[in-house]
Amino acid sequence: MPNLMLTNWCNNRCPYCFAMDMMVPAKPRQEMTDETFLGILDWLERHDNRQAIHLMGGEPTLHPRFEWIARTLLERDFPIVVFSNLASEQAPDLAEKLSGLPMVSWVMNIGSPSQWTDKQRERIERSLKAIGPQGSISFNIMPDEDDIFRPLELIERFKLNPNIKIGFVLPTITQKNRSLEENEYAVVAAKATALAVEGSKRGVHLQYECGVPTCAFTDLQLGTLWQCGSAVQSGCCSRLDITPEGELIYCLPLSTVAHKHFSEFACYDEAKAWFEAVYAPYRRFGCKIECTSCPHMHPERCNGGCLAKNLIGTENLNINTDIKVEPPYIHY
Amino acid sequence: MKIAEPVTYKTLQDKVVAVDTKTGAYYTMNETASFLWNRLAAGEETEEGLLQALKSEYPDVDEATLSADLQEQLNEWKQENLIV
Repeated sequence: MPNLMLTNWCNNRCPYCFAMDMMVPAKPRQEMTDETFLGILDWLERHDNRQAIHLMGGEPTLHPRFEWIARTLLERDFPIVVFSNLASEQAPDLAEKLSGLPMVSWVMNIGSPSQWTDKQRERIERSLKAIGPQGSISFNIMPDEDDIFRPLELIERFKLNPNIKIGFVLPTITQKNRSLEENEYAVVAAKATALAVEGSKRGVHLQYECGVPTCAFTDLQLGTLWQCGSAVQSGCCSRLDITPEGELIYCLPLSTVAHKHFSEFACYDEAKAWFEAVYAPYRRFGCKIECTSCPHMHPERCNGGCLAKNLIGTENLNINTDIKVEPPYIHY
Repeated sequence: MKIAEPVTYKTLQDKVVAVDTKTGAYYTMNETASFLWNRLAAGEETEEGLLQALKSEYPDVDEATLSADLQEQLNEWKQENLIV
């Protein structure tokens, strides 16, 4: 099931934002219309596996019809996961309105907690109070972030889900966003390991966003993380994104490479199979020459880092979008 | 002579890795092959030009050896449809 990008507008301006190529000001402000949303919903109902729909942005709570969208999905038996910074003006009210409803969960992108303003902190804390155990935290650790234990404090204080999703800030294929320099991977890996060690003492474990290369960690760190119940596993793009205009993309960092309108596919499975086929030849590029023989290379464990990052600097990149796929489709 | 259209490649740690996007075959090149490949990519289209480039890069190796190695490499790439 896909990520629905309800709007490309955001109240934050995170320099590392991997949606930057789709966002204002790179593109004009767009909000998913009722017609597009309902069309997508009908289309998604053709998919056999009813899994959660991820509501994303930009900042999804800034969509003027967010509450209606969320309730419509729930009425049609789609669980929802809202990916929000919880710092928008609307977020606390919406969190309270949806609080306690079954099939609703929230993932808060914590951003850079050391840089929160008082207003942001107030909104985030009010939202988290409403969300409680239905909320979890995702954390893109910056090399200069000095408040890495803040997620643990929030989890304890607001009784959130005790899993933190860790991201390494990666470049989009256009490289317009801030991303880690090669020498910063080790710095972030050390911070993530420290967070896992402290987290394990408090019953909190780490999971990993896509594109985190296993080799960013030393063998000692990998062992420590395993012992802490936070073993490194980083797959690649299990869900397609749908833009406010209804365009399907493989993932936000690759938004400028290949896209098709959802209505060009019979169902989500076909679309997913098509994108997998389009990008399959390029999966062999890892982030290092050693990737070809690396024992960590595995679809669910490590893909040699981020596909978009690995395509940067590739010559003769002629993405073949004339590919046809036939059923039966593998469920990803 | 030029790099075939379906072949995508990049340089990782000074070595060229290439993928034939039609077959999915993946090639990791050694230092000398990477040197030759990059000359091809830079527009050096003749065998003679490539041999001259090799002679400049490896002045201590005799021309006959360089020529034989070049032939062998180009034949392999042609067989694998990496160059046309």
